[in-house]
Amino acid sequence: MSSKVYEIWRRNVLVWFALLILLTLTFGIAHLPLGVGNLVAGLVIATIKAGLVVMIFMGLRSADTLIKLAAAAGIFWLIFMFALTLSDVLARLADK
Amino acid sequence: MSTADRVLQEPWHELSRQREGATFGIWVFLASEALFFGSLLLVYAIDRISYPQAFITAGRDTDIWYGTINTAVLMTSSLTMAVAAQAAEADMRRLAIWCLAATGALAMIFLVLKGFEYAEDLRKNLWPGAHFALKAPGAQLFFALYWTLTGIHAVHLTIGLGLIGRLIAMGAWRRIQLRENPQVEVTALYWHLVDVIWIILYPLIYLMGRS
Repeated sequence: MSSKVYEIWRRNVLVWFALLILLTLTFGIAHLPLGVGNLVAGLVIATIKAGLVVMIFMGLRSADTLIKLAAAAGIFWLIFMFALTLSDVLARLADK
Repeated sequence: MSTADRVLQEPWHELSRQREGATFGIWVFLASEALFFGSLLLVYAIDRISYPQAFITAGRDTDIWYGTINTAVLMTSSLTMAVAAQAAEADMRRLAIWCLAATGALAMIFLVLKGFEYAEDLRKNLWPGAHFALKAPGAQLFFALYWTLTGIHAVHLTIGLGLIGRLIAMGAWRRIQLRENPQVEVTALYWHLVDVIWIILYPLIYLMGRS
């Protein structure tokens, strides 16, 4: 029983460590003068962190195909919403 | 009574089908939540494209320490929630309930810190309106989004806290069995999404204009 407890903690604590290291990293990078690179670094690290939580803590990595499709549909429609709206907004800005 | 008798609910005939249905249902809900927060982030993107400098200078007026500590607190609560869900699956009832309690406690720490942060923001006149502290055009837009995004996130977090409290109460008094119970997984998945949303908000709100 106790080795099972150890096993559960071990695999989850590893992910938690990775999350804390990434948090420290993004906090540090934000203080470097990188211009637009600050925003890019912040978003890239946030995406990696979110990916760790979704894939491992939420178990999407080993989920059924149906579940993966449901999650992919959310991302898919998000991309559509951003792409279509921003294509309009950016075109208007460029037109000014 | 077998597990199926205790956990199975109408209209399901089999526990495995009930679990599949619950997991699929919550993922569809979470995808819709991603679109809900996504639309607010889209507004953020458009406002930021329109006022790039104002977003950077206004972002500097948020409190990076509250934001960073709260990020660590929420990520830790995701750890305890993941352990709780896996412990429930492995029929380690005590560990599951203790980890749920730890998750709830961390959620309360988050809300208390957020409360202190809001109080400080209000002292600094960062609520958009006539007495708003910053003069740059677009700064009010940043703070309107700050209050909206963090406020709606806090509402989600409070709902999650309620769901966790319910599981602890029902689990601790043995009115429900936690093992193989889809309610544990649904609560855990919802909780992780609240964490994911905060992870995305963190660089957009707190890490602006720090260099």
